[in-house]
Amino acid sequence: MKKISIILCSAFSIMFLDGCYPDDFLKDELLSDTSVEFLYNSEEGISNAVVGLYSINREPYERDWFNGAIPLILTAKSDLAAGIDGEISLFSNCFWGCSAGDYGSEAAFGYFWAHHYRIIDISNSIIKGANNLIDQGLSSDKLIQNLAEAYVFRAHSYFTLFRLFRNVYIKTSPTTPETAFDRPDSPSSQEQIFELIRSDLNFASENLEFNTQAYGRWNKGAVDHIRAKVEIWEGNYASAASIVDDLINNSPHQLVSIDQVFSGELNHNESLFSIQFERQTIGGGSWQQMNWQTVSHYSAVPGLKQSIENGGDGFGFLSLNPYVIDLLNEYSTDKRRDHYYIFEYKYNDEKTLPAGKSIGDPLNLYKRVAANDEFFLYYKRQNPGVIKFLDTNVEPTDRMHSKNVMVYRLAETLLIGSEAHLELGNTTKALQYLNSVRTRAGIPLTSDISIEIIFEERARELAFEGQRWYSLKRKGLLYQYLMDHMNDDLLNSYYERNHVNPKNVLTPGMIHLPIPQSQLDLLGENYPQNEAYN
Amino acid sequence: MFNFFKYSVFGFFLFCSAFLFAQKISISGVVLDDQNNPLPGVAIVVVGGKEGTLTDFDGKFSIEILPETILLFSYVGYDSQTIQFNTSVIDVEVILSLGNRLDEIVVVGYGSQRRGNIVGSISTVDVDDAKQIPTINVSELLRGRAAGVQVNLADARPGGSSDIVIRGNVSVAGGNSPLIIVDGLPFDNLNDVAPDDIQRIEILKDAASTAIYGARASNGVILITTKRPTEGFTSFTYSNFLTSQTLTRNFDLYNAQGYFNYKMDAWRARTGLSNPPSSVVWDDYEIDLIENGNYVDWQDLALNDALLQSHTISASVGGSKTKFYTSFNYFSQDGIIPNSSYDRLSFKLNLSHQLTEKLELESIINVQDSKQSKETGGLFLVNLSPIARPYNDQGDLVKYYFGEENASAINPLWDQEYSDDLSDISLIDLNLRFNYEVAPNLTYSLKGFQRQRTLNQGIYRSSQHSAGDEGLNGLGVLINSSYRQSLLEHILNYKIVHNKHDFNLTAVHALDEQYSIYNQIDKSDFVNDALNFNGLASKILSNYRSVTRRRVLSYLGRIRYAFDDKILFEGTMRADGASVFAENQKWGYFPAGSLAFKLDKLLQNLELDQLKFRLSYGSTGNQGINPLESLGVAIYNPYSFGTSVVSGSSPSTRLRNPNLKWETTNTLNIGFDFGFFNNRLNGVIDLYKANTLDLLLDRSLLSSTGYSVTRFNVGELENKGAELTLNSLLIQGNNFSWDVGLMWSTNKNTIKSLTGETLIDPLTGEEYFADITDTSGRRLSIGQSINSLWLPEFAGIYQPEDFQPGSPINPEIGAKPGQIRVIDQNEDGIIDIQDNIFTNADPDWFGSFNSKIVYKNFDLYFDVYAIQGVKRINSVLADGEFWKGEKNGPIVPYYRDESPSTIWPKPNANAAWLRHLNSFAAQDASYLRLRTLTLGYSFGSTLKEYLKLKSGRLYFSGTNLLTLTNFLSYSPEQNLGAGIFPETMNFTIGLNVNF
Repeated sequence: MKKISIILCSAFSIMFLDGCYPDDFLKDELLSDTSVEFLYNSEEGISNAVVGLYSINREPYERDWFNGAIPLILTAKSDLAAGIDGEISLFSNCFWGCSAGDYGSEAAFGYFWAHHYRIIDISNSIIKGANNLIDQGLSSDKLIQNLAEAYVFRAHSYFTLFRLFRNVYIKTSPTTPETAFDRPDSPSSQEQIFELIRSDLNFASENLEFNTQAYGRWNKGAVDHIRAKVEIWEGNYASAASIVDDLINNSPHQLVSIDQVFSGELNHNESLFSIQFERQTIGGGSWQQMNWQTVSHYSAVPGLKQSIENGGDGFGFLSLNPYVIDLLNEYSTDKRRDHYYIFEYKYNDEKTLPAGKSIGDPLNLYKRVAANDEFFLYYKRQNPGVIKFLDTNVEPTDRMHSKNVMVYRLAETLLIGSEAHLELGNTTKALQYLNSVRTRAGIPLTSDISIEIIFEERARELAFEGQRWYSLKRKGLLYQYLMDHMNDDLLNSYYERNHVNPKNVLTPGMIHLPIPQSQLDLLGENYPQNEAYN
Repeated sequence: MFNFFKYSVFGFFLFCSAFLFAQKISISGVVLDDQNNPLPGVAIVVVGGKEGTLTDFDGKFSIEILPETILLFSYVGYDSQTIQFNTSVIDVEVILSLGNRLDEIVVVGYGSQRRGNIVGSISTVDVDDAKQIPTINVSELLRGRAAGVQVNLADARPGGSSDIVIRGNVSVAGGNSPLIIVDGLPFDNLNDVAPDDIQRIEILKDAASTAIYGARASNGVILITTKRPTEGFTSFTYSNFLTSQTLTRNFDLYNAQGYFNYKMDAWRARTGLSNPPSSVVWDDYEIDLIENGNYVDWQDLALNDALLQSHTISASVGGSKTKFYTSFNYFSQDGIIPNSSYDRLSFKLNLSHQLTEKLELESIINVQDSKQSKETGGLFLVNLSPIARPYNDQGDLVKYYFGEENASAINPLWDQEYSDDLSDISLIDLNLRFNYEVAPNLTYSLKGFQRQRTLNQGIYRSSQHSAGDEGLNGLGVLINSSYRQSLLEHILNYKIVHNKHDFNLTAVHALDEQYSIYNQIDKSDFVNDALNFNGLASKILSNYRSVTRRRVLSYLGRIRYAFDDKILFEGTMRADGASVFAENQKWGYFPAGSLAFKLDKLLQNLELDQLKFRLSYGSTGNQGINPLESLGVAIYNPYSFGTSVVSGSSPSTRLRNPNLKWETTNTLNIGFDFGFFNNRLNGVIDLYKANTLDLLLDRSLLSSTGYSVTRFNVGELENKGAELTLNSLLIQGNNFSWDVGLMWSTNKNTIKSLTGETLIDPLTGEEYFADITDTSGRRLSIGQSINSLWLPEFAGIYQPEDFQPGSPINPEIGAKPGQIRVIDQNEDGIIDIQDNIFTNADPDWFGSFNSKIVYKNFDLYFDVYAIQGVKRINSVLADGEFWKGEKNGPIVPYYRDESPSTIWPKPNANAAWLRHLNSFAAQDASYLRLRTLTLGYSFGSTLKEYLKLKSGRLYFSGTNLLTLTNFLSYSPEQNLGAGIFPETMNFTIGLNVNF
């Protein structure tokens, strides 16, 4: 009926140029999309937006760029990795990521920059919206918890951005169409940045519980762990030590047995924060390819095929380098070689078994020698791999894994505590924390302690979990450790044949990542690039 | 009252005369054209009476009439003739000569116009010539048919399409597709018209012609008129064609031996060893394949010649009150790639009926049903290793062509075998129009139109397919979408003729709504593969629904004025309100005016058939953006905590713009239409300048805003160009005629202004305007074309001597001989984006040349299409995996130490070797192509009589027969990359008969 009246009426409107149309006839309406306004104006909206943040936080792990290399880039740039093949190796050998305008810097570092600032802008909106609701008298536990989670996301992203790029600027209010084209001219000072991070984390620490109602959300343990990292970054060893002591003594968190650390959903007492995947489920994320990147391509050898026992599907793009392998081989009793890493790939295929081999024999076909470039096949197919990301529930031939990814766990807290106490001269406590990690790994207690020893333990315990690059950087060790250990000199000279030896490119200033040129172009004229890239 | 009296008296006299002089005379004879060929189907009617007849197959007729009766002989395309007969005559010979082009009626927006009185820049496409291409991709029919109209192949797949750009890209983000109007109705897809139904195609190019369509007309307008019956004339037509499609390419791929050597070379370069151990280069399964001679030619294996056929039957019935044209077309095309095909059934009815003396009803019904099958997963054979084994010893397909051990090398033929991608599309158009003569010279029309298109698509990867295996138990994607367009128009038309003054006034009010619904469900874990995507499955992987609506309200008026048939003026004003813009920016106003002088009539002494000067200026708008861009939209972003999933949402990375408004294009056009020697040489020259203001730009945001992009109105874009059309009837004799046509266009696209933001060059301290990047990655810079490549400049290949002391070249850090060299513009030794330069990718010009020779019953037609100066990145050459030897590709004379090439780099299996591939792969894609060559035979009178036909023609035609280009590809219009469906060379045999 309404339509008929429009037809009739519009017939007359041609003469009067005046509508018989409703006022909102030309209104643009959201017919199947959620409005952004909804997200920040109600408790329900805010809780939706916070869940969205967790989902965005997972994105780097499920990016299929560079064969899923994004979550491993900092590892590839650390002193423990050997970049063997694929795009990820280009970050190890400085073909990518060691200048401001190259493709790797643009794509990967540009993504880090955008990703964390996106989390920050959404957190800003949530914080503003939630505080408005609180001002209006709403203050349910749920709202306070969501607000605390938003503070954690914001603080964590600022902390990450600062550690990656150093020259970052703070914004604490949401971007609007009016402010979108502002061109910040200078970075914020470290004091400003850390003040914001501390205040955000303190709110969260005070308002979150150790036991959250849903596994995978930020909890007080994870927040205190980050607080300890913030303090030790700035060398506030007393604060760091007291946060760690508090977490060790007063929380339900404790180390679990070595076979539990990376098993199943990672939902155990040692776990502080992890990225959640759920296979073939809406909201479960797509998949990660970290196992495929870091387990060797043993299946190319006759007599071996992919199996869960051998570490699933691997392609050997990035792996442990001789430095960390030697550390792991230091003690024959070290259980981590079997539970965190895979040191032996075993013959398991009757059909293609070569003469002289039997099922269960370890693969030992290649030597790490320069002759005929044999070391390359050794790295590609036989070198020890990392099984911290292995999904034992998928077909062994499947490279797409839905295993949760560990981000923070108590073993690192203990090693931070050990370092803080050592710096404070409290050797007993430092040894106690260090030895609790060593004991769990099945290696002898030590009575000898130094920063170097702690960093060796960190390497064995935490290799490829994404923290190494930051830890060395904060301690001022990154450049030297890279020059001493990066990749392997066989690989470094191998790169030089076609490009350069990364050790000849690396400069001390490169401990800060370049701000991607495309972003720098959009920033203010005087916004500084990090010196190594000017 | 007075009129009534006059008609009554007139009628009375007629009535009386019929009684008084009932003695009839008989007239018989033949109607011929001016080459003495008989004309069948000529309508012969008594002027002022009701009697009439048609000529037969041989042009003969006979009729009985009253003495002193005037007979009117008329035939489409010929000048009509009237002859008065007083007594009986036998063997009268009437000769009709070909009509004057200038009297031809040309369809323009909301009306029609004599060609001679056209004021704007309008091209008419020769539909008969255009239809020589066997396709239902109507855009391809337009290629090279009208100056200023550029057609770019988008998808050569059966059922695929092409993009049309008229007079260059006037918009960056608002879309550059012209508005398509078929029989006065807007079409969102040109391919929804069956080529056999097309009677006329006109292309409106300047603002004076298009302004009447204001809202979506800034990219030009394509007006198509489908067939209409001639009054008093009934005919039936059957036409068909059968086409064979063959792969055509201008490159060869390495065979197994060649690829073996190529990859070895890449590894020699990588390892520095003259004979790298085969265990390093090849995997063990590859060594097995090499030892056993398991080689394959993938293109040979997978690509097969395919057939295409079309059948159309139509009827055209012209009664005095009711007229209709109806047709039924079946089109079927198989693709040269397995699993690709397209089938379409279409039905059309154009009906008109005179209800009363003053009220006429017109109706158009189109019904189409099409089925498209697509190959899955972008079957791209060029890159596959020829050292492979796609079949086992029993001749059955195997899943992994390198053998069971390598699960990453999936046999694409296997995946094709175990997958489906089927689309079912149905279209229904219903149009009803009432024309009412309110008063003499004043008509009112009410037009209603509804289009409904539904798509049902199912994609299935079975549990055997590489994407449906590994425990997924089949992967299905189900897509349902529907599109509904409703249009309502009121049209008033008023004519005044007073002495030498001729006025024509038009007013229109229109309401247009488009409503789309899209549903997609992805699921896995099917019961079994037997039911395909129609089966039930236990896991829903994603579900998505999108509903969008856009509305446009329009008011417009037009005045046309002609003074003494010498000076012509036209003015248009249009107001459009579009829902996609921001709350207070809905309305746009688009005025236009044009003026023409018929110089041939003003300067009467000139020996000219036509010389017309035209001048026009006007505005048109663009609203080709998506709805909701002025609003904040959140995306669904759920998360799994442990095993429980919770709904979540995040703002989209597109920031809303609450001030989004119309993009406006102002066009100035100057043109000449001319005809000499009895119009045997005629042509059109147009010069234009179109400036687009308030550009709808997708502007990249500093990503620290938390957003990546926003839609923005800023800046100015200019298109300047020239167009030339020439037609000449070189020879016209009794048995022989020869005509040629030439079309040539050039367009220059320049960005005049952008955001206005400036930067300071840190080195020189100079202030300059900032470039911006749009979301498709194009770098926009003032003074450049929007279609520019922004890359370091390719400067050949590093030679050993470049590294000698004293060499003028200063190689970049880490460079080696055989690598791609680009120019280090700032000479800092590092190549980065500061060394990028702009290269215009637009063509310098494009054009076509065609010729038709008719000798007796035979006709020969060909056309040649050329495009010059296009740059395109050829993906296959930009692919590092090819240069690493990891993929196969075209054979090129690449750099070898013993024979260093200066243009082709050295393959090297190390990724770090491969730099600046895009600079190198940005290659010239200019080409010259013999598009069509057709030989036809029109049936002679004996054959026609024997077959009882009015006319008939049999033809053979070849398409894409010869292409001259340096661009390695299946078609120079497309780069050689994954997902590209190869364009084919076609051979056609076809038949048209009329009875």
